Amino acid sequence: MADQLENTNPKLYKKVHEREITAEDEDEDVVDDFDSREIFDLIRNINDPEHPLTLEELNVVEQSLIEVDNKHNKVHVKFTPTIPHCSMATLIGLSIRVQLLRALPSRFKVNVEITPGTHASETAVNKQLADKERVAAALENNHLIEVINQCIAAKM
Amino acid sequence: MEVSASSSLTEKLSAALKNDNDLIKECQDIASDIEYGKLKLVIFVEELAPFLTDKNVTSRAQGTLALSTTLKHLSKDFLNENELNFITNFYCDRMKDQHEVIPSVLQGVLTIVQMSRLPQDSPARLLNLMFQHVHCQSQLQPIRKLIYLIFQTLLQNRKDALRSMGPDFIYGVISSIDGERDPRNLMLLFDMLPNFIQEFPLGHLTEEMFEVIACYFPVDFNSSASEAQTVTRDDLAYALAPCLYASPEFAEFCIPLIIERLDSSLRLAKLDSLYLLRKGASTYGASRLQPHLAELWPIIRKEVFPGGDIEMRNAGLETITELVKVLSTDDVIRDSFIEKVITDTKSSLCDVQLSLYWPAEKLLEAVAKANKLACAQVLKTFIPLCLGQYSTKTSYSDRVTLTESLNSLMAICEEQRFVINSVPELAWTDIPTLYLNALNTDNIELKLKTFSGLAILKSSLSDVARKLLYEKICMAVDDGNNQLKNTCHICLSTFAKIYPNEILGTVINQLAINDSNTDNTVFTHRLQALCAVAKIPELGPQILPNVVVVAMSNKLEKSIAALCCLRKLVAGRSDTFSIQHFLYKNCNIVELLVSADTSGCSTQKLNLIASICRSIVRKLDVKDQQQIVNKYVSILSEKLSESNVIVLEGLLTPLQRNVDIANKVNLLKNLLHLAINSVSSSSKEVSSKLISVLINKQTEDKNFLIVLNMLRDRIKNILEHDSNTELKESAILLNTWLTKALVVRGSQNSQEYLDFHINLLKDMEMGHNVANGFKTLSDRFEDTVTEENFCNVKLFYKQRIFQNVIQKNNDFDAQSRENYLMALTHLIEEVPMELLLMHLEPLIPLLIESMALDSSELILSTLVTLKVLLDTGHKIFHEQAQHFIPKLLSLTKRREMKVRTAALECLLHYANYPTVLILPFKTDVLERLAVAIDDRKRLVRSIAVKARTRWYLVGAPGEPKQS
Repeated sequence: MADQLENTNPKLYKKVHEREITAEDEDEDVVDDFDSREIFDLIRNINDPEHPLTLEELNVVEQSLIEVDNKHNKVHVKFTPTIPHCSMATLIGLSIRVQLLRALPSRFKVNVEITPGTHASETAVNKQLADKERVAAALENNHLIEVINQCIAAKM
Repeated sequence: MEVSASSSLTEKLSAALKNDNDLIKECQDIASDIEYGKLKLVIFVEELAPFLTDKNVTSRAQGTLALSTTLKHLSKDFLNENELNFITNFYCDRMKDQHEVIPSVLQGVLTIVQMSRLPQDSPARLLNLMFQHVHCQSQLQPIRKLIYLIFQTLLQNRKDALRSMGPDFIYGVISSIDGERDPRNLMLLFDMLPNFIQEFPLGHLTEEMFEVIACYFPVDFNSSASEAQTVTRDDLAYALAPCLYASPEFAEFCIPLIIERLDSSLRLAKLDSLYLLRKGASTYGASRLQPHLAELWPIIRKEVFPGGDIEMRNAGLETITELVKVLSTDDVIRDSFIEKVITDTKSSLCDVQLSLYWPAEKLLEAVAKANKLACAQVLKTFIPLCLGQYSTKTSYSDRVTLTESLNSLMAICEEQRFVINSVPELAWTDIPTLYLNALNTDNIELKLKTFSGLAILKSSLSDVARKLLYEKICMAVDDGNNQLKNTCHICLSTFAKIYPNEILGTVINQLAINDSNTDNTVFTHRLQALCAVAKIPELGPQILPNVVVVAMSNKLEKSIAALCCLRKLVAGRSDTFSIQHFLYKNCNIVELLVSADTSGCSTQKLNLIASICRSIVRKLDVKDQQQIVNKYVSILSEKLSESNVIVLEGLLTPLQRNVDIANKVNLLKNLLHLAINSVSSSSKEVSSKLISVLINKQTEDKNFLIVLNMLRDRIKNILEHDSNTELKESAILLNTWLTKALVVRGSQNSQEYLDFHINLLKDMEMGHNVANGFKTLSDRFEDTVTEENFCNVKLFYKQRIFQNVIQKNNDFDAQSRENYLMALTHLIEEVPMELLLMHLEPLIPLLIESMALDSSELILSTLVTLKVLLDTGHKIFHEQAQHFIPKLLSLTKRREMKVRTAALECLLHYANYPTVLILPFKTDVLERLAVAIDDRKRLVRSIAVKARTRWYLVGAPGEPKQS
């Protein structure tokens, strides 16, 4: 962890309201598909590694940047670092990946990427996040997994 | 005579000295002999002489003890100055004696310093020798306590004598207490020291005194769990603080100490330091604080800005307020301190979107709260920043935030009784106009905050502005937005309290309810708004009669709306204006309600009428109640119908016990008939409830038994001989209420009725209904058989029902088992948690059994209960984890989504149990929940995800700390 915060006073964004429960949601006979809001709810409360703020409050994740294909079992998440040189980008990407790995059924193929044009080393970070073996190796690192767990657990 | 008396005294003494209890008894006798003049003190001492001068140390100690104990039993004003002088001499001399004798000596000293005629020079003589010869800290705890009590007593009544000792006394105290470690003794010292420090000039011993106390700061102490009654850390911490700020002279030592501790990483040390600073600031004063501010400010800032730890942040903010208050005695110091705070926060205030905006805002609020001058200084910077952004920011959420900030500042101004534009630099501002314009927005949240803001400005709005505001409120009321409703009502009643005539004049006209063409929804909204101000004494008499007229009109929807409003009004409390009495006396409401044509009425309307009657009658005195009974009961009960029984219940339920109901037996018979045979289920229930109330309040005499038997015979008859299910259901409902009436009052028949009711669970056909009745028996929200309705309510009746049911565990098997367990879960939902915790042992196997049966209803209510119980973290759930967790996992696959959800919630709760305990289940849980997170229902998935992600953390790095 860097001792000096890179962005001490970032801008805040409004949080969405809790998802409303519809009659269909309570109907035993209706099958509910996964949708972008559901995926958004899984990751919006992950904490930023630097601030006591959630990824949603910092606008790092947005519902509009999430695509779900129920039929083909695909989930695509794009996230936007607060500043283009953010050294935390990989860590944030990893946290999102780990959370989705735990929270989504294994049938889904999950893809986590930086929103195009929002980070200096976009390709490098994307490559790391897409590389299954590198992700697995990173998760073997006790210190790293501790930080990720704390980010995920903070607003649980 | 004397010889024999004295010789027997010696004998008795030497016998008594062998046993402590005998000694106390003997000394008491001697003391009373001395007081009655039967024995002279001198003679007694002479008798004691052989002991007091014995070569054996133990005998000397015992002898001294006998003297001290005897003195203790003499009244405080018995001995004269000469005698006390003599005793002082003696004790002074004994101070030099061996270690073993000292406790008895100190006990004697403590006794004589309490005596009123102690010579002026005695305290000094005693203390000097004590300081010289008795080393306090090498004594045992009780002996040290004696020394402190001697100090305490002398500080209370011999201050002058102590002052004459000069620094010797102070030095003596300091060296006695230095190093004390016993929490009980410390509490005693902390209690006494502030006074001591304030009364005695410490001079060159100031620093020594401070150091002796400061070594305890911050208090680091864990009271052992076994001694529940003893001193806690917080007791010590709160008692220590006043010692540390007892003298302004401590400032030069204490403030650096505070700074040092605040800078540490220990949370408790920081909190204690903030507390000490907050409390001590006014003693130290501005001039002593000033040199340290440059160092103090950044350290406090660190805790409140951004302030992740809420308790710490609040403590920090309170401290800032207190500091500014104290610094305000000097204009220059206050000015420069606040300027520093503003400089450090200004950049964050320039953009409401910044994450540090709120922390900065709260910090400035804390400064502004201190006093008017500080507030004005903050406003000068903050208000222009807010208003500037308000005009440039276009997004609603930013304006909402800014409005919130302005509201908080205005509220602070209001508290300090001035308005923002009275500050010369801010004379140009016009927030009222800005706000009134903002009300034209469509954004509900902004409107909400703006209305609240205008309510804060209540006393400073011009009449033009108020008029405009009333219009806006009336428009909002007619619009009827649900989110705005409450705020509109609060705003309206805020102004109505100050300007009742304005509201009467304009608002009531604009919200007219006498026009029958008004749309029903608009009409309802107006009615609700009017009723919101009807509690105000000036307005109620004008509004209520109109509402009553609408309530009694034949327009169904409008009348129901009006009745709803009336019910809300009479159910509430009002300190200034008794709505219930007004409606009864001035609007004749009971008469109107009772005589209303109820034949074609909907149950909803009838229930409203009954509920209003209940609230009004409850507030009346016995005389008025009796009048109502005399007037209406015979009319209503003669032609008791399914509809008017509901109204009758409203009138009779809240009667005081000594109100007399004529022909009660007949009434009960009619009610019994309705309770069993009525076609409407609500009339059935109401009849049963009314029977229950009447039985509960009736005196237990012969008549009482006759009535009871009549009811019981009818119930038994139906249950045994009738085949009609509906009749049987009615009988069970009635039996439930009857049992309730008796058990709640603790009647002598209650056990029999309770046993009967529990036994009904065995009924194959009706047992299920009986089980549901147990909910009624112990319902928390039940409002019929209650103390408010003047019923006989015994304190532990729920406990009784609960224990009875638990004891009958073995009486139920096979098919009745499910009914029994169902009844039990209903009870569990309603009884207090403490009671459950007392009976957890026998309960747990029953819960496990319930989960294994096939009734979804039973499983669900068991899971709901289990969830609450799991929250307690009770040890029994540690032991039973291997039973519960696999069972819960298998329930995540049941048909009903509610069962799946409830089971998952329980699993989520289990994840907070100690890691060592649940780690063995982790792999299994994660594997099984992998299926649950792909549930077909989203609601189930969302809980499954919570549970699974939480279980992932069990035993993993970064696991949340267990509390």
